[in-house]
Amino acid sequence: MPGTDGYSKQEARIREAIERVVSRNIAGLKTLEDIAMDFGATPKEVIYSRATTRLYHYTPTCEEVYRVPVVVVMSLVSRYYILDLAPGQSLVEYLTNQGFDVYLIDWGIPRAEHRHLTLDHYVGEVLPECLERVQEESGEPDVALVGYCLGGVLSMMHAALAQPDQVKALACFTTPVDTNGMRLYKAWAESENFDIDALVDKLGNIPGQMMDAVLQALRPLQKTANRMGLLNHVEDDQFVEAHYRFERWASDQIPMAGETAKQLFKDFLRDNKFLKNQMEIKGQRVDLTSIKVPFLHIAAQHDHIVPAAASRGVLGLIGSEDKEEVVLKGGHVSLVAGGNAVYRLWPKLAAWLSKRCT
Amino acid sequence: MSDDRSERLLEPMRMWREWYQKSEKQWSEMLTDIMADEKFGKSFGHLFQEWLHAQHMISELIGQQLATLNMPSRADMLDVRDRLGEVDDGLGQLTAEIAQLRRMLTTKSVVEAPAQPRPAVKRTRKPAKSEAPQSETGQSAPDGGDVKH
Repeated sequence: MPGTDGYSKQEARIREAIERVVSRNIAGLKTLEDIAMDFGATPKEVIYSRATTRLYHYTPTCEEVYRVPVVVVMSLVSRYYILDLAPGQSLVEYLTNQGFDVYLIDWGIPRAEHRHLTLDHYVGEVLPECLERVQEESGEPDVALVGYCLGGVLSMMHAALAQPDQVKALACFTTPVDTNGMRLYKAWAESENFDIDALVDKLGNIPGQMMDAVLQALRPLQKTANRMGLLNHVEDDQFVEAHYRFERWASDQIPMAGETAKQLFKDFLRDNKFLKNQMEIKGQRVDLTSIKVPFLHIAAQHDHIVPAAASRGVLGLIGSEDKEEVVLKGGHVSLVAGGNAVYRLWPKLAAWLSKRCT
Repeated sequence: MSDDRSERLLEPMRMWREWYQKSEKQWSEMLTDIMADEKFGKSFGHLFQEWLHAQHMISELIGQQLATLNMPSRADMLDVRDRLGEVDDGLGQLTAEIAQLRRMLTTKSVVEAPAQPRPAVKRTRKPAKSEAPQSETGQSAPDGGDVKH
């Protein structure tokens, strides 16, 4: 049994530990506050706006840029700032510094009034208008499209329907083309018990929380595991900061316009029409074989959202002669943002684009 | 001595967390398999429809009670959010138009006073010869190379 000295020593140590934790947390909260504010920080200008969509033009940082502007097309289900997470952790900042003239299409957050928007609106109206605006702004007749996740699907649709010579090159990352490879979602879509029409009729748009739950269903325990990882690295400031940035983005899940959700659920997911060249935009059939421009697809080796089975095979669908598929280490998100992206995807993409944007 | 003891006390928790992290993928896959099962889908589908119905009823009921108390419901708050969104869209539109006007004015002033330097960047960049082969494969990642097909 410890003596009085033992108790007072222990008391002092406990007090010291508590004071340390409190002071650390106050400083930590200050740091987190700062982190929360610095996403999407790469200097940019809104040059086109329609409903919730914004077209950003990132201020060039080089005196001499590649001739062809690069237009990044975001996914409909995630916030654009995963590609501009923080200074030094931003794909758009990297491309700008590599001498590209970079634009980004952010689809924004649909509201109740946007429940009737379909892919006709996104691919058939807004995307071509954005590209026209880029052509006006840059003075160049063609653009290079870069699509992330569902943004890749939208970009491919546009490239298949676009006038020849409007798209100079097309690069997509983690883009699903064959929904047979998305086992869980396919099972839900084929189930007679899941009524997407009733869901959209009741809710209008699919709420962000529901979209989050749908994504979480693919790795139900991952969030908890990530938090445990955070506890194991709680003294590593860089780790905590990176974790916080990703968590913040992941929890900022956006809703999906009801009619678009129906279209994606029925035509894309259940009937696999994109793969079968049966999707239609404004009455025009999307035939992927009519894509003849240089094409790059980058898949992530550990992607659980768009697994290799859902994205592999894309090269066989398109008509380009200059086409390439690369599988890089990483997951669906870590492929485009974070420490690994800096070494893998970003230089690969920049090198590929540099040869095709002159 | 007591430091060692506290370290020992903390170890099992860390070990458990590490085990959880390592085995998470297998457990998650198992759960996903269950969710992909037809039987699960059937009962989940029923539950989901019932939940939708219940959610609708409860929202209406609570909305009515909140209105009696002269308090805003979730629907009212979402309405406010939508209105803010509309304002934000309007601002976006204005910003885009100002950018376009500024560009037109710059172009006009360049035409009227050709001696002034043109602010646009040169679009003549070419990939550096030494840069291309190196960046084609990317800088080498810290923990190994990439898989290429």
